Amino acid sequence: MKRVVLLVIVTFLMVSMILPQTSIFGANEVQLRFLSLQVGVHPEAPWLEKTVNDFNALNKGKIKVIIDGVAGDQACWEKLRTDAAANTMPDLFTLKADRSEFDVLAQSDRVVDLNSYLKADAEFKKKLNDPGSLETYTYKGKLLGVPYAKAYVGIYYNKTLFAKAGINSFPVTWDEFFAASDKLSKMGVAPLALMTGENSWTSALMLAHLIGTSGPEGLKWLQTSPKDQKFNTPVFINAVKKLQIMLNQYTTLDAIGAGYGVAANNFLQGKAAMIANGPWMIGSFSDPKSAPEGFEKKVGYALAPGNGVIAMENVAYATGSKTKEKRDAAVKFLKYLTTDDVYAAYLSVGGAGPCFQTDLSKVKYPAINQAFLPLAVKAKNQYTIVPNAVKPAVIDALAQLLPGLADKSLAAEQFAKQIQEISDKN
Amino acid sequence: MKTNQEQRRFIVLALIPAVVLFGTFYILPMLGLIATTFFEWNTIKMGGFIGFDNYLKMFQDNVFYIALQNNLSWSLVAMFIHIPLALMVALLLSKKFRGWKVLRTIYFLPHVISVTAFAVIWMNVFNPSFGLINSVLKMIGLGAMCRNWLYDQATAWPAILLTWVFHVGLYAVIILGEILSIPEELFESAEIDGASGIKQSFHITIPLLRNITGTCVILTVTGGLRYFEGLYIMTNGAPNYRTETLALYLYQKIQLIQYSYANTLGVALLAFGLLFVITGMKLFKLGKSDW
Repeated sequence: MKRVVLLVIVTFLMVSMILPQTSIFGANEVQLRFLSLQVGVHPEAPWLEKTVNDFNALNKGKIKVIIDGVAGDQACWEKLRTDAAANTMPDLFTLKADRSEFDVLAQSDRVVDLNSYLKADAEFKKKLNDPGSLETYTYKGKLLGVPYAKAYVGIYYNKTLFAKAGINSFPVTWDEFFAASDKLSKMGVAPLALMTGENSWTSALMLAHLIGTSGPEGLKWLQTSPKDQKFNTPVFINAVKKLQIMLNQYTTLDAIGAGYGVAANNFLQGKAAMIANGPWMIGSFSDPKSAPEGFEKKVGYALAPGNGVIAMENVAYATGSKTKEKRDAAVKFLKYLTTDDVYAAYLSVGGAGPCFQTDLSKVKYPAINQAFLPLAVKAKNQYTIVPNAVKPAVIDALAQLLPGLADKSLAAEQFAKQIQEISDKN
Repeated sequence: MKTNQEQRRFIVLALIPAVVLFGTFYILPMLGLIATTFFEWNTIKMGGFIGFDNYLKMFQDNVFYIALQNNLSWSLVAMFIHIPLALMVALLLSKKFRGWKVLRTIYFLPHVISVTAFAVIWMNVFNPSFGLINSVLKMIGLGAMCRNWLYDQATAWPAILLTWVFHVGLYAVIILGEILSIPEELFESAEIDGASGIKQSFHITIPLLRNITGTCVILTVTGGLRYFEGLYIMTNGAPNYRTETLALYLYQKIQLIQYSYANTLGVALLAFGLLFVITGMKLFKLGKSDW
């Protein structure tokens, strides 16, 4: 009897191992692996979980999306890069507009071209109607992702500290900006939350604002392709000179070598009066684990001096499925992501700008963003982030060279020369 | 004769699993690593054959020389400061004065703490705003000497070396073990002949520690070559590549998807390590008994 039971168990296990996808439990259910960093404490995690659950319920027995969560930008990127190298791409994943990531995946030829799906579905094609967004995710004529989030990045400022320093409104010229910084500095508050560690994010954003608002040459500089970029130019050197003043006089002592966490914390704890950052930071203003109670009421969001704003494509969703069956299922999910309710819920969480036609009346933007977005959309100077205009090695080099710029052991011209050499060699 | 053959067969059979594992997990990847350095590999997929281009690029790369120089200075500090300090501590502890076991444990403590935690502690010690060093300098009226120790080009590398050079506990314990195994009779005879404690140390103990000292030097230098986490957390090579090492630079190139160049740096690291191990073994005549 024991032998018979054992034989049945073994046979059952063998059959279920051989036929995992088409088992007796779910006839022909297509399972999709969704590699995502929107898990754990990520502010968009609840949105993703609900979206996936709703989609799975709608497609019960046919398609099942399974979240393969990897917390943290860097860790998730490394997983995706490894998957691409091993040719085991996830069926669904976030495709970042950041050139250092996008180019690597685009060149790998492992991301599915969505053009044929757009051609086959007029409704879907009509919906994705932002040519700028589509161009961002197009590589050699192939559309590699459904554009999903666009961010307008300005400068957050602490209204209470500004008022204490006798500054009534956010500066609209760079001269006013430095005068305001002087007042804040004299009050004993660091005007800016900068950082030179990691990818020098907040410092690089200030550099983009300085370049982008310097005139047509600046805008042109930020539109130049990384391989053609020139650093020994007045537009870059002048911006670096101003950044040097910020790093040398108007930031916290611990900014040199600091990562994003330190810079953000300096702003959130009122040690620094301004920080350049995107809408994804809004959630932390009212998070009791990050900021003091009521901090969100103290924060204003302004355009950069010179009427400038960073208008950057942020993320798209893409598929790397190998089989037609899985590709079709993945595209069905991508289409689901573009439905009004799902998209409105997403935009309401992160405060991002839309990348395609949608019913914006359903979006409940955070209060800080509601006042800022109309200004941002109409800003005279709109430009991208520095990482989109330079090679990844240049961004990597910022962490090496900014400390020298800060302590003035490196002049702006030398800085530009060294950056040029690094860009040429890589 | 037959017994010898059987013994040889047994040795060969016993060695096979180790050789297969070593070959699969060390030799083959190492050969693969060397092979990839001759190909272009700057994207997810490997490109075409480029001969010695990566090696030429490496020899024209200033950062490679800074990294190599730092690795070299680390090795010299290991040989001439780190291990001699460990030797001194071991000699002192071997006198078995009151509380020597407690002191031995204290010396060993830093090796029990994770490298990451240790790096964070040192970052706080060197922090320009609230760090221990700057606070003490301000307290004793030397505020003018305050600086951002880890990010000032002049002090960054010495500061990094300082975080490690005094952690001699592990090697002190290894050397102490060897000292304690030296036969007591040698010291007793020397004492009868009127040799002082210092003379005994210089004429008996230290010469008999040649093998273990050589081993410790090789261990600490190769450990230094591989040391990565602390550097990555504290400075990641900044400022201006002053704290770059080959292991760190290699990782940064992997992050930039410059795989074949990273592997070329890996080959350089391997060559540097091998050169050092071989030189160290010859210099200290490792394996030759003094007894």
